[in-house]
Amino acid sequence: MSDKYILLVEDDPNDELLTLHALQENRIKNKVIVARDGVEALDFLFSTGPHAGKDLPGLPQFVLLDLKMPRLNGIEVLQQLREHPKTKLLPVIIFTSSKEEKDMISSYRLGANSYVRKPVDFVEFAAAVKELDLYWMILNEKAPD
Amino acid sequence: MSPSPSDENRHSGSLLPDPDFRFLFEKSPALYLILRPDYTIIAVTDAYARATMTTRETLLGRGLFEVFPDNPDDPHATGARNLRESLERAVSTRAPDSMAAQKYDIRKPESEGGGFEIRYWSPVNTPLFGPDGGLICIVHRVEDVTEFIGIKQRESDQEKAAEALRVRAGEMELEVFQRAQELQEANRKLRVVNDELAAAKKKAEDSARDLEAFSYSVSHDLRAPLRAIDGFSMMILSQFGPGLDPAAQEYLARVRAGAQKMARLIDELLELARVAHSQLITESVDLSGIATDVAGQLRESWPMRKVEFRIEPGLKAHGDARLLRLVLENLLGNAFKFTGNKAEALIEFRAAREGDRIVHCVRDNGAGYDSRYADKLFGTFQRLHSIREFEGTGIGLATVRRIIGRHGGEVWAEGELGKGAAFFFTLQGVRKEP
Repeated sequence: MSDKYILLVEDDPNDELLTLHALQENRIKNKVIVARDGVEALDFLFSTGPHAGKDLPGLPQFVLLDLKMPRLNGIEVLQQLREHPKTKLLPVIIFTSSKEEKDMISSYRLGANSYVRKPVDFVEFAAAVKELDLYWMILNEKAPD
Repeated sequence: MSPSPSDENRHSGSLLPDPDFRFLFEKSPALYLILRPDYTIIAVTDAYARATMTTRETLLGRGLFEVFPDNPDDPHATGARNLRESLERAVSTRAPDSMAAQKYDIRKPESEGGGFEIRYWSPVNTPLFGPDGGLICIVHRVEDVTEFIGIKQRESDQEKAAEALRVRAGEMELEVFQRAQELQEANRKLRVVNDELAAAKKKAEDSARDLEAFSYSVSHDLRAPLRAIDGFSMMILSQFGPGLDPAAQEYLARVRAGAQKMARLIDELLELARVAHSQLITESVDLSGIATDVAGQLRESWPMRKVEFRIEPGLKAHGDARLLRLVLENLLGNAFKFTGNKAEALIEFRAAREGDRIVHCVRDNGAGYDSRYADKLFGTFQRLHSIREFEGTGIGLATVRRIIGRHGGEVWAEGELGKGAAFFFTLQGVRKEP
């Protein structure tokens, strides 16, 4: 599979739907794969757990990563991604409700490529998602897999 | 053969022929008085006269108690009574009667200044009876024990002093013990206080951590449902809007506005909590620069409005830059908001020295406020204008007060309905640099 896709790591079904909706509003119809928590995300990227034996369709164009999730939270996911040679350079966008300084600092320290706070106003929310999509999907050249 | 001399001859005859017994008696070194049964003095030794500072002439033929009355200066004197009792006892028991050492002060002759001299005596009264058993006289023998008593007295005094010392030492020991106890108690209290302090510190740290966890949870979890409310309302509007009744569209718009308002409230409450608990990072802060910056942002937010900002240049303060920016954002933001109905709005930021402090002031010519409710201005969620008139959450000035408080300053306001408002604040260590 050579199709570009986004990995959305999001445990909140509302946020998932809102994000997907915002992405659909963009003209570029991208494939989005959703992982519903950190463990699912890592299993998918490293072909472990339920994804063992399955071939990964190449790395996503970027990861839209929520922070507060059950089991493995976003910070822990980011840490593991950066430790693994395969995902060390994978663009990871933190997309969260949190505006806590602590979260921003640990995210950037661990090598997040961007940190975006989810706006409550859906107009702003959709605008943010669309811009992220445009930038990381179209404009940005990601490191070769 | 010459007859051997008799014992009598050898003793009295050969050494002192024809002895004068009265003379011998009077020269005796002992202190003797011879009394008739009626206590008239009939003989006295020189030693007695000397010891009592009298003369034989003044004693002989006179009554014992006439010449030796009790010292009238000593109300406790019992010498005369004791002596009389002893004499009577000796006569009635027909045996010598020894008296305990008596205090019997003697009258000094006028030639030696008169008055009485303290003396202690140890007397023995011995009755002498004739061959018929009748009382002839009483021998009153005394020893002057004043000196002995004095020694005793001094010993006693010394003992008393020693005893006093011992008592004092004991007391001091007790005091030392009590002090030690007090010290121990003080130490114990200090430990208790220290423990309490440590506990309070831990509690404060715990509550700061709790607050952090709480803030995190609030900022994350409370906002998520609001996004859903706003987002899906928006999706209804955008996807089904054309088919909806205008009233339904209006209601959905209100739902969205409500959600967004609540999101702002959450953010501001979190800000207030952070302001109260975050660590102050103090540095020299360019207040004029921040004010100019904030003014620029406000102008941009509503470019159509005609607002004049007059910002005094060169105002600096020592404090936390982020928090002081919040203060100016709130105060200038309020001024901007409450001058919204003014055709020509004027907002000033300046400072003036008042005594030993510098008072900063943000003044506007806007809606002002009803000064009767001035005390409510800085309360959390307190608003003095209706939402219809002016937007707001009622947290801004509470945040300002917290920040100023944390900088050791004060904040207060002056205003009148329709005549603008002025907000004043001081900061500790603030100085206006040239």
